[in-house]
Amino acid sequence: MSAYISSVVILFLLYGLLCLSFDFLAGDLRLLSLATPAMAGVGAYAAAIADVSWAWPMWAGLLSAVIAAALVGFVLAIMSLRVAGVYFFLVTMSFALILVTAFDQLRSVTNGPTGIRGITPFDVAGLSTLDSGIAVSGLMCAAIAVCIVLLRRSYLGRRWRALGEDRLAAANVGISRTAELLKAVPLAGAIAGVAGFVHAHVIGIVNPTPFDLTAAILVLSFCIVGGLGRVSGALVGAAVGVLLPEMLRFVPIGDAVSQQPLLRQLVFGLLLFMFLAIRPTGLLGRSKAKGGLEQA
Amino acid sequence: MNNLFLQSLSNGLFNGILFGGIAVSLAVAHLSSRALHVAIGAVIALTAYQWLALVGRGSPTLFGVLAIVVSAFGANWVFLAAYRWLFRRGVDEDGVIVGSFGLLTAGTAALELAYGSEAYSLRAPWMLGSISLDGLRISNIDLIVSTCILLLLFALWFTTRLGSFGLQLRSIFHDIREAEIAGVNATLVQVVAYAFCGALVVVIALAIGSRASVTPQMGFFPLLIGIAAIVVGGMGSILAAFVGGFILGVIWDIVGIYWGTIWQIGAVFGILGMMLLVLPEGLLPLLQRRASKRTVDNLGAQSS
Repeated sequence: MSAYISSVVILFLLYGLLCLSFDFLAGDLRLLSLATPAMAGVGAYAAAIADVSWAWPMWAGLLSAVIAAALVGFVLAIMSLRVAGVYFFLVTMSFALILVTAFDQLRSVTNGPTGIRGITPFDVAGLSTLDSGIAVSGLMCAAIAVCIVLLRRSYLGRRWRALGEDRLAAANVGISRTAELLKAVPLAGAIAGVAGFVHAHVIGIVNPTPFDLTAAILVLSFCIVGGLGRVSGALVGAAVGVLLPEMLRFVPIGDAVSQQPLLRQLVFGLLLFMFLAIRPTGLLGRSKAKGGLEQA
Repeated sequence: MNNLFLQSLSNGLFNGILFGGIAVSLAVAHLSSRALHVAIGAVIALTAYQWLALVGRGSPTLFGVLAIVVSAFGANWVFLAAYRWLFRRGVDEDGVIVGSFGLLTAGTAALELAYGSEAYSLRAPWMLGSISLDGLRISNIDLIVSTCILLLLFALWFTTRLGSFGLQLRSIFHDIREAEIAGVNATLVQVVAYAFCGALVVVIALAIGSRASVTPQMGFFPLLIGIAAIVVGGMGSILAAFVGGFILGVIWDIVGIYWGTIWQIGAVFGILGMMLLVLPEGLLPLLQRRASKRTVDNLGAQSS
């Protein structure tokens, strides 16, 4: 596999993990969280510190990334117990801003905007660094996707869906929103933590930029374009989000390579708006009758 | 020490008025259309670039002001049309916010493609000076911005209190269908409300562009502050939004002076988080309780 294709596949898998974490909350509980990339950032910093500062083995780094992000998710869940809908969206936005400010300003821990460098890359026997990254992140992505599908079919998943469909009706049959939020948000944080762990070891540098609000809006738009409520929707959204800018390389606008992120922002901003208006269920989302984005 | 405190209080006062203006611009748009006008960030940046393109290249200031007012009004009305379209398509309030975020992202990217990411300054000679009052220094731009915002807020208060506009705005906010059945021209009210928002955007763009710099992302900061302020104040009231913005503005400056600028955004969003934990409806219920108590007292005085 050429280095270019490998890097595109890795980008897809990284965004795929972030989209899975976002869709985990948005799909069933109808909670749109802008804190997903910031929680991934917590996982990435935890993995980077475990690797570079403490020289822990990778499995311990993964564990620390998952635990750190889940703990941050728990704090977010506590902060959002009394809010829903628009207010949850705003709480997650402010939470993400605080986290990104902390990444930027707690220089003794995070090394500020320069970030933490020299993180050990994945090394799967017989494979190059890039291919090892693809193998590990692909495995993580597949494992998380299967877990989410199984969870959604379980008793817990049905409770969350009930809560997302109608909070009052769910409360009447004994589903406690508080208890379910305290389970779901940390779990979404843990998934984001895995994304952060993969990011740290694949990219090799952890700095605040990839986890800011722009990344959150991109993940949100990928999931809406793909369709909320389905694992396949999140992955297709991530694939479209990564592949479309690659195709935009051939658009003759100035220096296409340097302007590619901007073109992606422009196209995805407009796509997000158009999909909301014309196809709110996204490419693969649940049908409107089962509850589309209108109620998200 | 005392002088430093007074200076920080004075700066905080001007900052509070600016943040209050930002919050009111979002609150007016939200009241009239139920859409949290997140794309205002792109309108602010567009307005500042228009000013640079005109006045920065030698056009007369008055012509520049007129041109950016027209451009801010026009951009706001385009976004209003977009939100109305989303609502007509059955998208709810949360979905419209997401759509507005999409428009903000697209707008910011378009501005960066058009103008590049270089930072420009809006500072004109008349903005640079300052006056001294008993040792307190007040910059010209702070005075001009605060005066303009207070004048616009007075005009808004005058229109909402002394005419039927305020009643129509509230009726649209509560139920646009019923308001239209009752004879309210919802489109006209929304157009006027977004024009007010546009006028405030012009002042905000000049204030932010002269205090900091003009970049495609310059609208993000006032947007975030505005959202925090209307949540702290309470959604659905212009006064509450102004109070929320004013409090955050004063805190912003005091934190900046005593603890350092790096903690400003953390402090503002920390307060927002605490408010959502303790008072999710914001300060609005407290303000309404005071207002209703005053009304009861007045009625009591009249009857006695």
